[in-house]
Amino acid sequence: MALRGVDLTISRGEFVAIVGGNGSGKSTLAKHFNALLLPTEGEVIVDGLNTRDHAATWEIRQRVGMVFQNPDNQLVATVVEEDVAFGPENLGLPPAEIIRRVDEALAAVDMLEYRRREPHLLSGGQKQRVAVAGILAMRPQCLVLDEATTMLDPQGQREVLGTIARLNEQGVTVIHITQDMDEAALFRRVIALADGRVALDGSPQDVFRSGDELERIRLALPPVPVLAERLRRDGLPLASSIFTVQQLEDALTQLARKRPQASERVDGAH
Amino acid sequence: MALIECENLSHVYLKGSPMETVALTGVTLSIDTGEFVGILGPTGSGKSTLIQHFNALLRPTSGVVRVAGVATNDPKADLRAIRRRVGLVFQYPEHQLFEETVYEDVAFGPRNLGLDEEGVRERVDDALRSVGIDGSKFGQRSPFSLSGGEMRRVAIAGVLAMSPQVLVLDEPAAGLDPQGKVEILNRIRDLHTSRHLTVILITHSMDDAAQLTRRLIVLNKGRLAMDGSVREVFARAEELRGMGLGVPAITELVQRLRRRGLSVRADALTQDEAQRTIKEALAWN
Repeated sequence: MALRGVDLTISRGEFVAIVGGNGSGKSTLAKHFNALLLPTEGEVIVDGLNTRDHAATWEIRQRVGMVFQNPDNQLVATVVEEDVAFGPENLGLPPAEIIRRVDEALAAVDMLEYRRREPHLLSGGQKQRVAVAGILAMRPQCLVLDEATTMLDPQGQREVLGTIARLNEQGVTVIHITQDMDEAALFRRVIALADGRVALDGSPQDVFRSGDELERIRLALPPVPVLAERLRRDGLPLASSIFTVQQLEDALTQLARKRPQASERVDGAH
Repeated sequence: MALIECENLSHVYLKGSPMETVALTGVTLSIDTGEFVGILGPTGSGKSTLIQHFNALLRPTSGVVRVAGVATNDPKADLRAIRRRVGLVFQYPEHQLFEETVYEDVAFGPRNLGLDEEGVRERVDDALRSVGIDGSKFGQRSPFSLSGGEMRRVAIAGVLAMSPQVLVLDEPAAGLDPQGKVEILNRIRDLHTSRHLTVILITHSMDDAAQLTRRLIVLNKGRLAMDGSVREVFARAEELRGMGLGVPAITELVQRLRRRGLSVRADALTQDEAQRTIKEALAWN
């Protein structure tokens, strides 16, 4: 049994990370969001459409687009722009509209200048951005990334995360499935699954506070929140909402300004 | 004597064909017995090509690779002996499990060495124990009934059962959840400290590299870009970022704090070091 009685609602415009250990059910859950899988029991409603209603399947998949883990398994054409055009072509749109959508989608993922390249010559991060563009060309309301950053190097991860954050600002709902808790910290809401159930659901602040619970469900606090917690125990007044390098850097810099006795940096010295 | 030596190693795939691809160019390095070395590099930098030279699965297009003094492109070289000495664990090694039971899968290598059943059993038990798998409980189960992390440990046991002197792993923690990752990396650390295995490890995680290894080799576009202690390499943060890599989160934090005027040490790698230097810089005691 992969999922057992999951109840959750994701609203328009949300920026959500779904985390969980191996076998927690997170990929199975993601595949229910666009009717790639249908519930054994219970229901999944996407923008008012029931995924069990076969007549609604294509409409659901147009609204909820998925990007998968392996960048090499998702690109079908031999030229980037043809790959992105694949979806709109299948919708039977007029050529001028297809061209407009391809241009927009490639611009949105910052890949316009690679439009005539061969996909297999791109880096992993670039391939995933083209995969995202292919989905965007379908004008979805929601983007689901099923471990789409897992196989990428750090640069590729940054590219994909930057792209989806920008898309979310433009109104696209984003659901990102990941095991990387550093990535999860960048989202506004984190849902943790364990044994096919929702174990934790809240802001990163809520979820990361439960350090022991995270370990029980095979996750772990990333290095920066661990360091923040250690400094807090030493008495430094640091907010519990600190998870990223940027946040801790800002908090510590402010703290230093408030403490004039703190030593000034002497160049060349440690 | 160096255990593995690359001298001006270049490797070209499909040389002379229209698909010709240069994977490595003029790589010179040497790894000694007992080292724990991390190999970093962006996708396509030549990491996997390099490690396949370490056990003669690939041989140089030009240059020389010597394993325990034997050049791998010497026609008289005993390649089987080289491959016994250097055990290679590929990415997602659990995809290569194929036997009906965990025991049989791990026994495959030692059996091919011509050991008797008693010797095979000893090797299998020992290898499974060292990856934390209980042979009496799991031995007769199908490897495919195990979790992803367990399957991976069984696959590593299959390589360990050949009693290699060097263990080379290509992203051993890829795709595992955070706890599975900690388990497998701790096992590898144990193999290094208690069995004195030389370990060479490809990783994309700067945090793992900082915690586990002592020396880092950085490849970029098929060339050796850096080779030094973990601290030396992570001090070159800008260059690493320029290659699409980075530094551990903790190191990045202290480097940024320093740029904003705090007198922290910029080379902190561990929680302890960062905690101490931040408290000192803030005069917080």
